[in-house]
Amino acid sequence: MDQSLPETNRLDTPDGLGASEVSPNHHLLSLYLYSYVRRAVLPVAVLFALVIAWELWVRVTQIPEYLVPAPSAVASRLFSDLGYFSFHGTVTLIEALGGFAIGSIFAVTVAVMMAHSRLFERTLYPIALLVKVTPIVAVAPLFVIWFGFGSFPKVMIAALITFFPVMVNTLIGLKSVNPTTLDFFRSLDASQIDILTKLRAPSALPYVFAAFRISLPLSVIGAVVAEWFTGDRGLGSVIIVAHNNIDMPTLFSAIVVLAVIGVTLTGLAALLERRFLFWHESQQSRYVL
Amino acid sequence: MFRMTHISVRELTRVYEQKDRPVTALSGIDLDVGKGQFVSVIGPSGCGKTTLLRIVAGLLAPTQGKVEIDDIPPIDASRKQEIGVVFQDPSLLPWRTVAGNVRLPIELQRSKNGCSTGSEVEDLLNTVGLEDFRDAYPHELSGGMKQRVALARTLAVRPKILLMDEPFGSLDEITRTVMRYELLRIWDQHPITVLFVTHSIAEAVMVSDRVIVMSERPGRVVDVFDVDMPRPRVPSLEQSREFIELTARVKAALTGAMRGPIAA
Repeated sequence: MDQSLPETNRLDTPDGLGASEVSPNHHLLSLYLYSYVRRAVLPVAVLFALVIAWELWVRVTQIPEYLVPAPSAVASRLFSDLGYFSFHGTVTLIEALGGFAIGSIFAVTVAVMMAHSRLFERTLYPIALLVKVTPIVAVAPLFVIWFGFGSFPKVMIAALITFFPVMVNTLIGLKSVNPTTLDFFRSLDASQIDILTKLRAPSALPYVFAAFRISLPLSVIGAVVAEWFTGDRGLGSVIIVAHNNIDMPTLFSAIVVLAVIGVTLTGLAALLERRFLFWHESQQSRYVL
Repeated sequence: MFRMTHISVRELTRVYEQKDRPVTALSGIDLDVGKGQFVSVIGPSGCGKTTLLRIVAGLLAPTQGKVEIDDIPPIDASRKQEIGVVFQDPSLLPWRTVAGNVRLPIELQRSKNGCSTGSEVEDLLNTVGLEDFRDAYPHELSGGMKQRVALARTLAVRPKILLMDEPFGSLDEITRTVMRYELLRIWDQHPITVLFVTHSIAEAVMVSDRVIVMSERPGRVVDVFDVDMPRPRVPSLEQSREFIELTARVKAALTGAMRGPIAA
């Protein structure tokens, strides 16, 4: 499917250089958006067909709404009270993104320190692993007790769940430098700071972005799970309340909003990847895996 | 013609500690390279040519013996950014443009003693014939072009010594020949001291003032040939009797230095 992405910035195209002189990345981005939309057509069509089938099934079998609501019932609930869902959705999104930001900054800092000190790595890595293998669902109620009922415990849970994938990938990325390039830097007696900022950090970017793709949706999961334990705001608490009331259209609406948030965040991560990793092999392949 | 010694290698031995036993990569190497001289080192695979080059570059410490560049250890010469290295892998930064890659060593200079002007980068790009590709990224370049960028980048800090480790080793034969004469043309403009490691006999003879032949591991110097062909060296010299004879002699020395079926 990827052959829909034409060769840009390539010298063997007639105006390859001319185009890149104007604004290479903008050009690439709009082409990417176009191919993104094209690639979305088929899965969206299939999804649409499934929803139709679901609607028909509910109407034919007359299955009660407290078991499975019809898509039309979910849609009418969602759109009749869009303000309600967008408010709680925004709360969850902000908690997730705040946690993601805090977790990522912390993870990158720790990874940089680990990359420069074996002692640090050997001390902290097992502790980080311990935190990672502890189920987040088990920690969430504890955080609520410690940090109260506001947004803080949710942000902390989102940060915690974000931390490990970003830390591990950044660490691997910082170490995955071309040995010859490192020799070149060393042959010029480059400072450790220059080696970090001009060589290791850019080399780590593909790994960091791969981690972002994993931990962005994870941060939403973290926020929702934390919201289950405190019942005032956010889609997690909406789900719990709807569940207690057996209010299936509301429950499904919250799930739909969460899915939309997840897809948007993942798409955004992919877009940023295109923007910042245009030079990387992963962005140049025109073949389907 | 008398020249000041620029690189001096004395009794150089390098031993690598392997898991089960130590491996001697270089054994008792003696070598002198005069100021402004172009010297090639040729030898079979695994003879320690790269090890020798890395020690002269200050990237590796000798086990025994001494290497001096203008009477100071290589590590100090590299601190003064007197040494430029070109590797077989162009090892460009893929996220930087051609101009950005050439500018890199200037940015890495600790003592910012001026001279990091854009015009200098332009001059270097002109020298290697890549002025039209200043804003291209490495993934858009051919292998030969990448190696031109690597050469321009290394020349950016105006090194006094150029160390080249099979710089054209991964290029096809045609590009390789073109690059050989390109290198000679650039060197005629900036005649600095060059230590050039290669696999190719013709390449070694054509570019060098002196060819040093090394043996299989442990690497030793088995023979040294002075090349008295006139400069500038032009492709037509490849048909000259001098070139053909010298190539044959280097080949004989190289074959003599090999063990196994080829030597027979």
